[in-house]
Amino acid sequence: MQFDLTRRELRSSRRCPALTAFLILGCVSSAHAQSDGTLRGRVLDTADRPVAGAVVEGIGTFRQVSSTGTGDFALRLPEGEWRVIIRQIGFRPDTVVVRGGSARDTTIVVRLRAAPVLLEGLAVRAPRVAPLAQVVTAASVRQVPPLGEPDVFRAVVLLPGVAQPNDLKGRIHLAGGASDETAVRLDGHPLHDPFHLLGLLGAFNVAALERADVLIHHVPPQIGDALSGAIDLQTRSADAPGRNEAVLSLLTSGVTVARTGLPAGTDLLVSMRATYLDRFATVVAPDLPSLGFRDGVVRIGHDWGGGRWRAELLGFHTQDRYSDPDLTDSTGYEPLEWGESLAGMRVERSAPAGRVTVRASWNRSHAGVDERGAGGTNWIHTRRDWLSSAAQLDVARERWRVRAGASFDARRHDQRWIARGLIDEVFSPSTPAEYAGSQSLAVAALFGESELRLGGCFAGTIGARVSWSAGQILPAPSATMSCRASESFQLQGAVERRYQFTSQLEEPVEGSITPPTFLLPGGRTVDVAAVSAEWAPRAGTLSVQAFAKHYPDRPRLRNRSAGTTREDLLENFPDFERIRGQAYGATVGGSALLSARARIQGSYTFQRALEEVDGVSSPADWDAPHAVSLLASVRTLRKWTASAVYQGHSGRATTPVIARSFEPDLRAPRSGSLLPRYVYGERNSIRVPPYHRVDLGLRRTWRARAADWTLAVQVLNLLARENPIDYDWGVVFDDVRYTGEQSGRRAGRAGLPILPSVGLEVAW
Amino acid sequence: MVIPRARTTRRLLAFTALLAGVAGCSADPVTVPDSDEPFLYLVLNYRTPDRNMIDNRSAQHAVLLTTGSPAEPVRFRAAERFELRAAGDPALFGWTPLPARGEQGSYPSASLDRPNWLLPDIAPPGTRGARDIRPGVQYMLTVATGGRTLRGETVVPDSFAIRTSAEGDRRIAVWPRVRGAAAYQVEFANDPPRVQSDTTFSFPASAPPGSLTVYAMDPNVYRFTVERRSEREGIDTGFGVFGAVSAARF
Repeated sequence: MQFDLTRRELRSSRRCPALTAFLILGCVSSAHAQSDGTLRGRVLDTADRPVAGAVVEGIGTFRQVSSTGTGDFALRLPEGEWRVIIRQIGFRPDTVVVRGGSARDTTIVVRLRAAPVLLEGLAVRAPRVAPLAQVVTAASVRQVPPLGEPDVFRAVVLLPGVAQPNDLKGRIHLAGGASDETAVRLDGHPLHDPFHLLGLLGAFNVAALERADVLIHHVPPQIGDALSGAIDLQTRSADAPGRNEAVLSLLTSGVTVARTGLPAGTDLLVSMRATYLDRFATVVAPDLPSLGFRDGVVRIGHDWGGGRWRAELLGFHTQDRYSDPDLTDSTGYEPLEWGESLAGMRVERSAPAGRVTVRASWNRSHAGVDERGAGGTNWIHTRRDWLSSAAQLDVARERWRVRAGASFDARRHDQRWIARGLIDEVFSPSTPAEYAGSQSLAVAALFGESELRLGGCFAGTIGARVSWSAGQILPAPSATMSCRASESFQLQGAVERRYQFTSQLEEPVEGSITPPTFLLPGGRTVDVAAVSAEWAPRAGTLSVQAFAKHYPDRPRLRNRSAGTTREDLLENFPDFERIRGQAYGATVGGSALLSARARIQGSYTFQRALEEVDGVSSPADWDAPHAVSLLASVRTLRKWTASAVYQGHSGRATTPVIARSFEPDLRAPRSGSLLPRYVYGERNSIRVPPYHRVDLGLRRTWRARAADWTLAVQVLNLLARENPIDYDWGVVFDDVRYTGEQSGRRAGRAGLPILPSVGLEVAW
Repeated sequence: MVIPRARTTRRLLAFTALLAGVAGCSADPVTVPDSDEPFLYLVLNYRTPDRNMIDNRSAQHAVLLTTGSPAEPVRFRAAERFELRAAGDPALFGWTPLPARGEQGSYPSASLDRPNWLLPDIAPPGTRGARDIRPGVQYMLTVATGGRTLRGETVVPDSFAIRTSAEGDRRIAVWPRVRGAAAYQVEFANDPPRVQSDTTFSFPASAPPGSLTVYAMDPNVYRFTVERRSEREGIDTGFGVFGAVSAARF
């Protein structure tokens, strides 16, 4: 690293007159102290190319800025000698010491040395994240051998505290929470259920993403409706140099175009992806259902006023289609389709002292099928609309930082269906065969969070989100405390309350779309406490976290006993009962550089998710006490990088059968059949066998024809292990009946078989 | 920083073994249940063809089984006493056991068409037959089997009739709210039956006569077959149901 110092005259400055002026966009530009000086500079890499998006922060202050597309930055610093850290993902952080204040301005050039991105751990230390957050970058997602496609949701599961029940469910459970408690946001705009292939894959082309912030133990108050946390996805930075990418894999093909420096300060990101699975699969096996998807992201950004103003328009669309081979040729048959569409806008006004952001989005999620035209009686029509808006002000000083704002969300759910024969295929088991209902809900909220350097190593935040819904005022306070004892060691803690205003009917089962989701005017609550210790020497990182969560009013479908499959008579459906729940656990995560060519990252999570039903505490459906993940990346010869991933976790909790009874077949009463009816024991008192999976991926990148080419070959479930999803009791008992013992091999539905795939990426 | 390879390998293996061990430590054995509990299915007025009879007549019958193991065939069960009587009437109904079928009284699957207790329409003198079952009357059951005694009660829902009216190409069936009924099972043509609390049903006007049958289900039958909250309804021990229906056909 080298830096040069020059001195300039300090510009005159104006004071921000009063707190009320914070709400005025123009005020922010003038808000800085009279004695400040400006540290100007440029961030370059070792080849003298500009590094965009690097965070430049005065250590011990809340002053931080990002470098522009040309690598330039301007950071205001008060009087005195300051250490300034410059960080960017993919580069080694660097620190310089400068003098700030009114006496002089300083200009420096910082050259960051690139870190070997391919060997980065999955979770990276990234600037500008909330306390206790974890960050996954698009580059690190590509390290993980993908399930056909690189998938951010399949990568975050390797982080401590993050769980997916099995291969066939992509929904994310954070720190023992239910899957519908995990919010997914794209550039700050809330999404409904962005999943493909009946919940198997996330609906995002990794090429369009910059990173995913995984917020579990502290959710900043500007984010609502995230009971267990949020996965905050960021599209590719507009500051990054324009880069295009095409991907061709066995599952999909996609194109991503990123353009910066277009006329009038405009930048563009377009990413589209479509699968040909539906076409190939039916050619190979005509009896297979046709299952296909497509998705896309479009972002148009415009900077003006010397970069002080920025406006963005964002569009996101995902669409899946499932066609029943028995009905495909029938005239009038409308296959099952589901997906969502988001249109969002954001306007930002930035200044050295702060930033004002206004955003709004409209998102429609839908699911529909109609078999009536093909002689059937089933049809489904669900539509969920979400209008979301917020205004937010961020102001930073040397010793404190304030974020305040307001949000308004209006949601409407129209859900109707007659789905007698579709319950098992489309919906989850407790969905009634018929339903028609509409709900509307408006939630307004005020939020604020202030952060203060308390002296010594300590810093703390205190904040609150106060929501108004259906005449109720619901305050959700939060507080965090941190102590950075040294550059490599940090302690953090958080305590907070959160509310959420939706609940899905129940956890989705494998091979079903998202269960019907209902609005809760009174909200649902969780109280969270977490502590964390992180040690980050140069050769790796080690973090230990512990958490406890209390759910005083978790919604649960009433009168649903184990073994109940459906009810035709519905009174006040869904009429959730409220039960108490809790989750607690501890995680250990770390990464280590084993040699110059090998890095290993691992995590162990112990967590329990418990629910109190009828006064009895029992594990939740997604409870899996032990989870382990291991990611090893090794650079081999000829520029190949090999990545191996091991994932293992306890089997999910399930309810045992303690006796057999009989019942008439209500579907065919004239048959006279008495079907076996299993009498279930204590709820979720046993577990299916543990889950183990080893995946292997090889990547090789080379440059040719002015483009970077990457060949990726991967094998999922290398050991071809049949990971049971749950017991199919009929199969289990038949197994015993005919073989004399339980072989375990046919205990129930299994997860993924061994699955090889190959893909080619071209970036230019 | 370069760490010696041998030490690295040992660390890696030890770490992997530790993690895999931890992940695998939560398997629970699955046991196959086996129970000697009796199972009874007796719904008064519900009739299915009896395959024991040569002419396959519809009859009132009951199934008494041992719940046993799901990994084993169904075991039929004998009874020392099988007594049904109406409230206020000392006369017993003439239930008679049917011969055991299959090997050693077992059969691969259970069926209402293969009952092991039969109530003839016309019973021997001094006893009551199936034709003597009356709507609105309470019935008491006592079954002693293998050292267990099941006692139960039910009230047969009132009889009712279906009225229909035409509306365009549809026909609307309407029946009164039936005393003693918790819900109605509607069977139309070959459609899957539906259970409803509503007392109307719309069907195509072109449907032939006899296409629609409505069963008024007493609370025991409704709770056992539809709500499925409990494994015993209308009886005080064992598994199964003692209930009643009344039916109307259009």
